[in-house]
Amino acid sequence: MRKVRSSVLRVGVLMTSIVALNFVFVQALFALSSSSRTSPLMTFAGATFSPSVAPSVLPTVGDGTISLTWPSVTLSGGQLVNYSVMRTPSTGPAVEVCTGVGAPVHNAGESSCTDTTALAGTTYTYTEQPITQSGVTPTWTLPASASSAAISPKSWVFDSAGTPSISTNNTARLVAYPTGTVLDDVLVLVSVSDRNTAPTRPSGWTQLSSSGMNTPSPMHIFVAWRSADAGSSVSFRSGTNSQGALTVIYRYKRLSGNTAAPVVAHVAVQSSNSASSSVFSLPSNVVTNLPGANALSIVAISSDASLSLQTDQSYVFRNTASAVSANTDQGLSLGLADKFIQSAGSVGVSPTWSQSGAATQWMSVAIALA
Amino acid sequence: MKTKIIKLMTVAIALASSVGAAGVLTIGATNALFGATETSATNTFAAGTVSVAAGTPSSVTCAVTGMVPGDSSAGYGSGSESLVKCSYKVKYTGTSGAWLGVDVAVAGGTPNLYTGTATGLQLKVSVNGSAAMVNGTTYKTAAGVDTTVVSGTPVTNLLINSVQAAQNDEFSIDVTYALPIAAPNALQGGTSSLALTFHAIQSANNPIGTCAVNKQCSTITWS
Repeated sequence: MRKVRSSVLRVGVLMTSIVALNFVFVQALFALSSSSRTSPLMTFAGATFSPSVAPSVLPTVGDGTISLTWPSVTLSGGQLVNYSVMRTPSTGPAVEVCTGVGAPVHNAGESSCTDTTALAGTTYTYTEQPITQSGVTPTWTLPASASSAAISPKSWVFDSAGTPSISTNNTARLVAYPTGTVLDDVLVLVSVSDRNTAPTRPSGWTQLSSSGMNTPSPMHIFVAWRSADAGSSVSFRSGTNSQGALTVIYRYKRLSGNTAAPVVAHVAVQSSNSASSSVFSLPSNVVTNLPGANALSIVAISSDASLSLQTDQSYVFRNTASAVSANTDQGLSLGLADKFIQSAGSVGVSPTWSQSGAATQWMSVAIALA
Repeated sequence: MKTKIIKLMTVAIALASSVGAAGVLTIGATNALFGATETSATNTFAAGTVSVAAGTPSSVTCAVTGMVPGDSSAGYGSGSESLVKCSYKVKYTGTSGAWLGVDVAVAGGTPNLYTGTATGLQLKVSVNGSAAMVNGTTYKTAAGVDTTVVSGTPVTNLLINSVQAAQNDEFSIDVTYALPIAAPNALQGGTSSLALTFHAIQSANNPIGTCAVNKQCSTITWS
């Protein structure tokens, strides 16, 4: 019986195998011929800004303008990045500056532009926003930078010096205002004499300094200022005699938006000792008590020479004037430089002056006008 | 009991014999006496082939970087058209007639430059200069309905030809692209990729039905 069952089982397995083979054969008949081929991956990537946070603007006050600089932002695709520069006053809405022909320029990793419409007497902050453009249409941007430090434009800026006046006696002489002087400009009169005698303060002028020395030779410096009147000159007695005096009037013009009366923020007088030299290192003792001041460095020497800044310390050279020794005892020269001081406080290190002639005695006056 | 077993074996043998019945008959014929024979010329049967290969000239595989809004490839039809368009060159090398199709697979990173909207990456896929089968962000279903290509979900079986392809037919699957001016800042640094799969299937015994070129085709049995 067991043998019979085994035979039946073998027959069953044989049958199953036959059916299975037939099934596979039929399936193969229905498979269609096909083939395929896949491309390499094509990739697309959008550009990114670098740095990814817009850098802040560094504003610097100029003569009637504010220069703005910041590190340039680049795009990974190498496209040009433009900027929207906004100026926000302490009160009122922000406005866009540095547009059109004044648009920011890019040089050596730095972008810059100049705000020419800031008004004196107003405090501003600035932001910049990197922008890509398609034609003239702005597209991708970064969020605008953080606001810059607050800054105020100058209220006054040096414009010019009047014709130097040389006197050889104490008779009143007309000292010309600089050409173009208009009402309410700031006029600064500086007179240096080879005689240690104080001049007569002219009417309408405020004396800032009158200081003299006797050794190694007599010398006197006088500084006064006024808000310009409608005249074109001032009658001035220099206090000198045949030793001669040199007098110059400097003009600081009122800038757009400045309606305030000029104020002397600080006056300091420094004079040399008997040791004369060719290089003059002035004491750094000027402190302004008002923001937005012009610090003036006035130097006088007792010789006919050309004065210049040796180490400017951010001062800007403005003028030098001389009187030859034929008209004075030893010759006289005056020099003027100035520096804008944004905040009240120390004006910092004074500049170093030098002169083209032989070593000589010198005097200086430092003042600040706001 | 023995009889029952013999009957079962007989049935099994009969079934097995039916599979090789033709062979049995042939053997029977060779056993005929006094027969004359006439042998035909040799009949040969060769299977056709369906195969694809790289076409000519070489494909241009795009690796586009640093795109900004307004950028587009040559031939896109708008934008800068300053970038190089991509092309995938293929050739049908089979000996059998075939239907050809292409699968389009879009994928993306974070952020994904391709958003499936009018403000993300736009792709146009066309074959041998014909109308685009993917046009911006959409393809046409078999019914002709514009349907958005979804990143991560390949679009399959876009029909290339309605006349069966012949051996050595060449195809250029061209891809033009653009990043619209309106692309939002959120797409800065975004990435996307595109893969094309060109495939062929025998046309014999495989009716095309109502399928139309440049549309998705589901009538054809593709595999």
